[in-house]
Amino acid sequence: MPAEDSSGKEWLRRLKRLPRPFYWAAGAAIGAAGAITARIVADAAPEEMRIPIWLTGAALIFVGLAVVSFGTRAWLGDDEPPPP
Amino acid sequence: MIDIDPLQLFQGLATLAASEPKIFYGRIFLILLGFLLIYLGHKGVLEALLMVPMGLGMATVNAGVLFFEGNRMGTLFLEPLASTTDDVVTVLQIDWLQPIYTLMFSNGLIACLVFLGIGSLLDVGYVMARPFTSMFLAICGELGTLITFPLGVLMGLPINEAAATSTIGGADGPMVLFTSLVLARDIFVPITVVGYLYLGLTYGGYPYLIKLLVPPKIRGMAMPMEKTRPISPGEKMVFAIVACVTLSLLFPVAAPLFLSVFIGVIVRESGLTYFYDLFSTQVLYGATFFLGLVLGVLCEANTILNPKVLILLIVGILALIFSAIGGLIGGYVLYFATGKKYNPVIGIAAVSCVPTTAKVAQKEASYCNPDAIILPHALGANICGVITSAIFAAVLVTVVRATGAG
Repeated sequence: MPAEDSSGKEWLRRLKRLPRPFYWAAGAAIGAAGAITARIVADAAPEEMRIPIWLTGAALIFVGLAVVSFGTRAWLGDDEPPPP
Repeated sequence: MIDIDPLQLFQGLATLAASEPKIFYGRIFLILLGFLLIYLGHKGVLEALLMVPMGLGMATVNAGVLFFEGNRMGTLFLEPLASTTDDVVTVLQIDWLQPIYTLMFSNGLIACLVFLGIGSLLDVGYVMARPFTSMFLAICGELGTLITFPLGVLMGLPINEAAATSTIGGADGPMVLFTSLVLARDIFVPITVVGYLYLGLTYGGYPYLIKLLVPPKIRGMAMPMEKTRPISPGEKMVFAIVACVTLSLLFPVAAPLFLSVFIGVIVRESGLTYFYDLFSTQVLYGATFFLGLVLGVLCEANTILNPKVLILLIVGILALIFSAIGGLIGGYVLYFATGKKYNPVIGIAAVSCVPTTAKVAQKEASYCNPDAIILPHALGANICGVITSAIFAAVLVTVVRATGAG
């Protein structure tokens, strides 16, 4: 479906135009939210449920780190112009 | 003429003769094992940096047993079982390695120092360039830890000892030391020695596992060319800071390990060359030397001859085999998910053991196809494996402590 493809590409292009610190802040927020939520939920959960909850929290930290990684030149391709 | 009993003159032999058969044969066996470790380290079969001091320490401590007051046998090296403050202070003034043991081992400092050095050698850019594949493989590479924890319990180990032993599946020596010190202090010596011996063997054993599970055609598959742009040191520092803080938020019990490894990363990326040189050479190699030496010295027959050692040997080797299989399964998942464009051998690098398993993966791929360059991908999985094994160690410590067994 070409229309969807083009809108998808446009969405990706817009996402790529966001400044790098946005990715860093978003990634840190996702990771911290995952960590804090997992701790709060695990503390209230029965013992046998804690391992999956902690691992889910760790997975969310990984997602946050992946978002941080997207805010790099390697992903965004915004190589700075060479110095004059 | 003075009547001298030659056995009293040579107390190493006298204590050997006075030992019960189990300790007698144990000491002889451990002296010979020490020689073997030095030989295998020297030949490059096992990690020389660790095995040479460990082997010599093991052989010497089992030879140098002497009589103390009340015909009690002991050594002048260290006393791992001294527990009360008075005993520790007394032993600190007698046994020459006791200060290292008391002030660096029993609080996990030596594991953190090794991690600090390892951190300064890690380039997290390999993970950041391909985060999802690295993280997916690293989780798969912990299969051994996940399987052998309940398996150890089924084989009769208490939950804390089973958890500490299963961390061998993470293939990270400092992690095994840290976890066993926290969870199973009574048998941390055999667990750590078994862990380090097996980690030395991964270099020799994993290539056979790769050959068994991955056909040559797939093994030699070249990875598609990547459009790579440099990742700046600042970007890597952001990654390290976010990882360190969020992981410490979730797993405070492993926060010392996270801080150690990520401060190493940050020193590497921040251009603090004096610190970088210090951590990547003196701190890392100094800590590794004392780690090997003290572990060897702790292998005194009375300490190491524990009926649980056989179970530890079985659980330890199974943990490493399952982790390798898990990594390769992850590699195969990516192979099929990417339309057969991903070399599954990279999966074995997810069993952290930095950088050994990454080198093993590249070597096996190059053996089948000299043009197959998979090292950057393997290093991504490898470095992420270090972070993941710290997470799994933290999960185990937290779980065991929650049950009240740790």
